[in-house]
Amino acid sequence: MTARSDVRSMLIGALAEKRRRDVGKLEAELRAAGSECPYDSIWLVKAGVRAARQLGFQLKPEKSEAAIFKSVEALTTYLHNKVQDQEAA
Amino acid sequence: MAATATSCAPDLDLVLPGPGEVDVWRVELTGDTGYCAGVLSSAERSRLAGRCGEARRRFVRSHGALRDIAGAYMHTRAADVELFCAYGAAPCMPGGLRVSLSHCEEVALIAVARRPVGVDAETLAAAGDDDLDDLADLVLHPRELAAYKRVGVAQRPRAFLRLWTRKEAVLKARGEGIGDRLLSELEVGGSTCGGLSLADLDLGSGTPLVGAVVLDHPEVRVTVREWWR
Repeated sequence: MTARSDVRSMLIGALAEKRRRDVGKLEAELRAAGSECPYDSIWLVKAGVRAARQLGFQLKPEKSEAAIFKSVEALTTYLHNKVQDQEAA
Repeated sequence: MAATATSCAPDLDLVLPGPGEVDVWRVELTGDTGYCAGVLSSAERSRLAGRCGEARRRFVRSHGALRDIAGAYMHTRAADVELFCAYGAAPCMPGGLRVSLSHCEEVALIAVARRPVGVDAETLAAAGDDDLDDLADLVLHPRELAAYKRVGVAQRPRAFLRLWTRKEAVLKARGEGIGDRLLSELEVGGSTCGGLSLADLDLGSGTPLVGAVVLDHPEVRVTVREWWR
């Protein structure tokens, strides 16, 4: 089973690649920003698209799931749930 | 519609834009932060505590400029501007002034109007990789997606960002954020969206920036100005 931490690492890796940042520096910026996302939303959405593709599916949330783009943690949880559904099938 | 380009010193007493008009101020975020840091409110200083390095400098410059510009319209000192700026909501202030703020790398855009307004800008670099078509599939309305796919590959980044910035500007004018609704629900290819008027921003030839402004009014006319300190 894929762990949530693995999914988060994949998402952070994709975000770091998109932002051309070192992963450690990016993590520090995320911690410092607290509940706010320190990056423009387009970068998180792009990182989500990339991470989903790496996990073997296309990112296509339902209307009721729009809030997944509010933070790295919310998007991580969504991606992890999708992976678990995939692995259970 | 294309915006006209002028510049204006921030110390002048400014007249509020008329109905259907938006002033968009372009702010370079690479400059000195001394003046801007001195005009921030205690709430803004609290938010600043969570930022370091370039994020900190950009926050200080953009929010200081916002106060400076708002003060020039309201004929008050920048530090005295009563600006309510909750995270995820459109900034507002007494006196009928509506503002919207967008950051993009080393540039901020500040839109000022009498009606709810939203502005957004992105750099072409944000759309320049092999995930773009998947991103378009995720965030574009079906009719927008069909039009996007008819565009040549070289023109797709700019075509996509035209739509993305319009969608973000619509959300801002409504006081919403990216997580409040799916962007594919918003159809922004025309001149209006749900009673809001849309305009693309002309930020100068050769710029890597793509921008849009949205106003809650039947029409929108945009003037782009430069701010400096």
